Amino acid sequence: MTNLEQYRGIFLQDAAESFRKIRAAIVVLHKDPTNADAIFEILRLFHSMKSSSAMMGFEKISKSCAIKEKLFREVQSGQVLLSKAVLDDIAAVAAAIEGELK
Amino acid sequence: MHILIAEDDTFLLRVYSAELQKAGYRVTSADDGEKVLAMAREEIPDLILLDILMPKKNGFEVLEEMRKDEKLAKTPVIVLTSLEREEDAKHAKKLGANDYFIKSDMDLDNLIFLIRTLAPPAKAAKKRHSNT
Repeated sequence: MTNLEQYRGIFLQDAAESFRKIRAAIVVLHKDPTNADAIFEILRLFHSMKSSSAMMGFEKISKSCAIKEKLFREVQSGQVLLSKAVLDDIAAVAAAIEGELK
Repeated sequence: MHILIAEDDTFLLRVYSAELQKAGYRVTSADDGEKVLAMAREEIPDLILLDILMPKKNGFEVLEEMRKDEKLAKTPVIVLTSLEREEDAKHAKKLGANDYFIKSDMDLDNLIFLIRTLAPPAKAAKKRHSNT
C-alpha cells in the first residue's frame, strides 16, 4: 500500500504555486475578462488541484476545485461572462482553500 | 522498461514518477502534448500514461497522431485524466486508448498493477533484444 503522507510537503508546495498562478491570472482577467490564456490557465489549475487534492484526501477542497473548474469551462465556451463579482468570488474561494491547506 | 508520463500537473507527475521508479520502471515525462509526441517519436516507450487536459496539444490530439504514426500505433496508452464525462472516455477508446481512468478513482497500487499487465518486464526485454 502506497504511503501518500510522504508526498504531503510536495503537494503543499505545489498548491501554493498553483494559487500564486491563479492570483496572477485573476489580475490579468480584471484588465481583460476575455483573455483566453488566463481563462485556460485558471481552468487547468483548478482541474489539476481537483485531482491532486483528492489523491491526498482533501475531498472538500477537491469538490470546491471541481465547481470552479466547471465555471471556467462555461466561461471558456462563452456560456458565462466574467464579471468583477465572479473574479472576486474566485479570488475569495482560492484564498479560502489556500487557508485550509496552511 | 520505459514509461513516458504525459502530465502537466507537477505534483501528480512527481508522485507517479517516484512510484513507477520504485516499481522498477525507467520514467521520462513531458508536460505538454507537443513534447509528448516528440519524445515518443524519438524513443518509443513501452507504455504512455496520458493526461488529456494539457497545453499545446491535448491528450486526444496526441492519441490521434500516435495511432496514425506506424511506429507508435501499437504503443499501449493508459489515459489517466480528471475528465469524468462518459463521452470523453468513449472518444479516447475510439481513438485507440487501451484504458481510460479517472484520476480520483484510481489508486497508485492499482495503477502500477495495470501498467505491469500492459507492459510486463518480459515483453520489454524481448522488444529490446529484437531491436539489437
